[in-house]
Amino acid sequence: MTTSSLFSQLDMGKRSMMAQQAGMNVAGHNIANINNEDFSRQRVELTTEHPLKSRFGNGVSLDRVKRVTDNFLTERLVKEQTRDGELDIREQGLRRLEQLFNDMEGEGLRSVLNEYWDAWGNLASSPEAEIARTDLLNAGKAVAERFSGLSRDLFSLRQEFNGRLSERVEKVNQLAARLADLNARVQQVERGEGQANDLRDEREMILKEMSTLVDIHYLEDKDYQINVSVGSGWPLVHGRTANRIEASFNNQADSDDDMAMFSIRGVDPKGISRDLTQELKGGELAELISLRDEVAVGFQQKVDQLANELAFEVNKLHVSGTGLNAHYEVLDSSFALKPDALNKPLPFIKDGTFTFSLVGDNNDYLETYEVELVAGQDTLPQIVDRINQTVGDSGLAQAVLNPDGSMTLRAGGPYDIVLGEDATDFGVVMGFNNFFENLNGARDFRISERLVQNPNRISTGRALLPGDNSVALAIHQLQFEPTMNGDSITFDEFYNGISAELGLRMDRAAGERRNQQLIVDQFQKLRNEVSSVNMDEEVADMVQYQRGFEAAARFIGTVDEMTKTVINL
Amino acid sequence: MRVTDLTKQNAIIRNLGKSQEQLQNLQEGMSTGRRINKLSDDPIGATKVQDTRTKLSFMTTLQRNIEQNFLWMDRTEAELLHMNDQLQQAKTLILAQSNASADRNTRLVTAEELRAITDGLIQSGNARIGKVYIFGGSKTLTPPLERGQRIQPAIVDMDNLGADAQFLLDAEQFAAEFDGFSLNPYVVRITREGPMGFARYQVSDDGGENWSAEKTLLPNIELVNEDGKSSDKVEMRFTAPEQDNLGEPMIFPEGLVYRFDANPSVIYHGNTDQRLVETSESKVLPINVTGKQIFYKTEAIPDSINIFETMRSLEEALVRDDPVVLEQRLGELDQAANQLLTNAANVGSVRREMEQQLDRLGNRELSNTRQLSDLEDLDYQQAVVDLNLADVRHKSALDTSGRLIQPSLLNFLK
Repeated sequence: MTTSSLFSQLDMGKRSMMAQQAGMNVAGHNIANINNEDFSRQRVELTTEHPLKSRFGNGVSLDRVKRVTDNFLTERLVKEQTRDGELDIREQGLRRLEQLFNDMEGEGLRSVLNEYWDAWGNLASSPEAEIARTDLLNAGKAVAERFSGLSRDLFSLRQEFNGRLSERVEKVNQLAARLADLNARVQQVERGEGQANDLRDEREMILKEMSTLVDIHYLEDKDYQINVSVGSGWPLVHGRTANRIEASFNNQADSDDDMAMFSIRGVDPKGISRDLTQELKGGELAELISLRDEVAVGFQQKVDQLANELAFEVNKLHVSGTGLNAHYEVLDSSFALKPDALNKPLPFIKDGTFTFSLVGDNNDYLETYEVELVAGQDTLPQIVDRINQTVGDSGLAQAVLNPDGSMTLRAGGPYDIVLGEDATDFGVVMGFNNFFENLNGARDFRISERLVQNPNRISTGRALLPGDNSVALAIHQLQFEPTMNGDSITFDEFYNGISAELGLRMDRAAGERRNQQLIVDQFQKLRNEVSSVNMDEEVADMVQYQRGFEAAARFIGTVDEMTKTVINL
Repeated sequence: MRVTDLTKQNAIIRNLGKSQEQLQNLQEGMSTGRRINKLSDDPIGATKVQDTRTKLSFMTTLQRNIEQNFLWMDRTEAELLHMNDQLQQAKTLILAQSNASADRNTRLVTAEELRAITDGLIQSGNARIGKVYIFGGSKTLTPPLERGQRIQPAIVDMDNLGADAQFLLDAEQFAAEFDGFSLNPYVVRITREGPMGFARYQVSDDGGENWSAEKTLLPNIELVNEDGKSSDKVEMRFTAPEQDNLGEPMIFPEGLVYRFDANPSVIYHGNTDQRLVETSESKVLPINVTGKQIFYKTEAIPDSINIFETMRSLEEALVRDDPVVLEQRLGELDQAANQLLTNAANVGSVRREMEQQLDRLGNRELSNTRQLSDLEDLDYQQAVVDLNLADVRHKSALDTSGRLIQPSLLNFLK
């Protein structure tokens, strides 16, 4: 009968000890990494050694050190991280936006608008008072400052979002480089029949970090390499090569604002770049881009819309009014047309009549002129000519088209000019007696310089009657007129719409974030269930391996005794 | 299910974080006293708060303006009553002069007194608050009443002359003057050509409908139409030039017409605009009375009269020593008093309506303030209860967390 020789038994004992040691080693490794979130616990897989040609066993062999992990869970976790990163940024970004529109302390746009309307109410009650005019100017200035401040703040916010893009882009590149490096090392180890357990852990960690920043698709190929693509399949990491993404300025942008904003381009080693900005669909980068280009811009456009409508409606009422002794010897338009616009029909005017009058001393009306305008047809030079023809005598009054594209109405002799009823909005468009002036929405919103220099020019009534408050009354009641969105809602309601939208978005983002965190937590918990280390388990294992080691050592000792007995025969 | 140390740790951190967040929110609310500190606390509530604040500030503005304008109305009433007193004084004087005991001298003296009363009326009519005249309509920075000039240039009308005459003759050489106050549209027409003393004229006091008998043109004529209106036994004089530019006697062509523009003794420079004050979002009330309403005839009101014309007529009658006109006009003084008092009553009723409106605004303010408080303010009792609950929750979370992470197998192995 074949027996295993004593020496082969020694060998078996030695292998047994080594196996227990390996187990100890692995347990120790696990315990050392107990607090490491990215660690997957490892287990020793022992199998029985193939028996030699005898009927006796041959001990234990270390098959491999297994890494306990569930790839499905990892994949889910990576995906949910992307959404989590998105929602985190979204919540933060909306919170910053919310601060801009917060009026709870009474210092926001709504409050200054209230004070502005109230100032008109006070002026309507005492149209002759000069203090009421100064108060109104101050209230108007506050509105202008708030509008332009809001516009500036929104732009700064966009720049802030923009800035955060570049630091994240760098992060992605660093992670990609590390991943490529790890790919090389994993390949090296596993081709040589080893197990790159810890390297794989590190790769997973990189994938999780990367997915927070950008939505990735990854796959492990049969060469043990993880290939990562972003957007619609642009390769970020392919085997050992990592491509780069760049945040670069967009030279083809439409507006000056947008030229200062980054677009994300993917660059491959040959230098060919591809614009990924629109392709990124998830993760922090995509969310920052969305906040910067859609959300912030959307709110900016709403604020601009409010500013434009407010200026237009107030101006419409203000233009044909008169203040205290507010007549003009020379009336310059605030706005000028660019050279190529001079020969096109003047925009924004309506069909109708535009009137102005000559007044003498004692505010007596001498003559009133009516000029008919046709919208979509009359150009500014034509209108200037028509005015001069209507007056007929340049010694009385004259309209002049200035070289810079602006227009001047000049009264001759001892007379002065006063504007009258204007059904065409010509006065508003050219800026002849406006209260507010702006060309660029809320950004350059300001009060007409004429009024700042002489508050008596603020229109309160008509026809130079000092006690007439019809214009002031009308403007005061503009507060409650539906003038926005096709004359369906008031200024306040429009602003409420903006605040409510912001507040609800914020609410929803916070809620979605909470939910997403629960989901991430859930998957993290599942993953931990499978892959993370339980102290008590490892300690129990350690005891087990220790006993096993002792037993194996004991076995070797016993075989050694037996050998000694044989040798001493 | 397999529970790992990492799971335990994460759970503890997460849950402790949650209870701390809750405590934090409660703390913020309690220190500001407001339930809504930022938009996302309650977006719809936040917009309602802003709307309510807007309403409140609007109402404050209205209330303040109404109260300021009470001053205007009170002053108006006071002046009107003062004017009435002056008229009563005038009436007394006139009564004294219309019986037999008065004579020429007393009437002359009374005329002076009447003139002074008219001046007083004008002064009242030009009352102002600060720099604003209250009886001028919307022309509030210029005095509404001014004494007129007796002498006025006549309007030369050559339309009835032949075309050649119109071409050859120069209207300016015929310039003439009317001297006196009247509202009647006098017309003087030349009916027979000739120089002064030969030419004849007719006068109409109703704009050319009824003409007087022909009379001879003299340099200075009194315009009286015996067949016409009997109201104005008036002192109107018409003065025409005797000589033309060359020193020759002026030839007045037949058909030449001189028109007289109404010349009131006291001119009203203001207008009839109402001064409107807002009393609610959509309502305005007029708080003023114009000089026109007080002193002048209003077509829509049949009983209205021109007080100044009455006073002038009485004054002139006293100077002319004409008791008949005195008696005729005495009744008008009563009408005048009525006119004044009616206006005063109107102002009074507007003032009462404004007071009611002020009350209503006050009530609305109260209910809006309450609404604001409901929306905005933190319910402190509730908050304290919540705070205690949250505190208990937090402490028990800490306690169980401690128990969860402590013991392990190592404690029990030797």
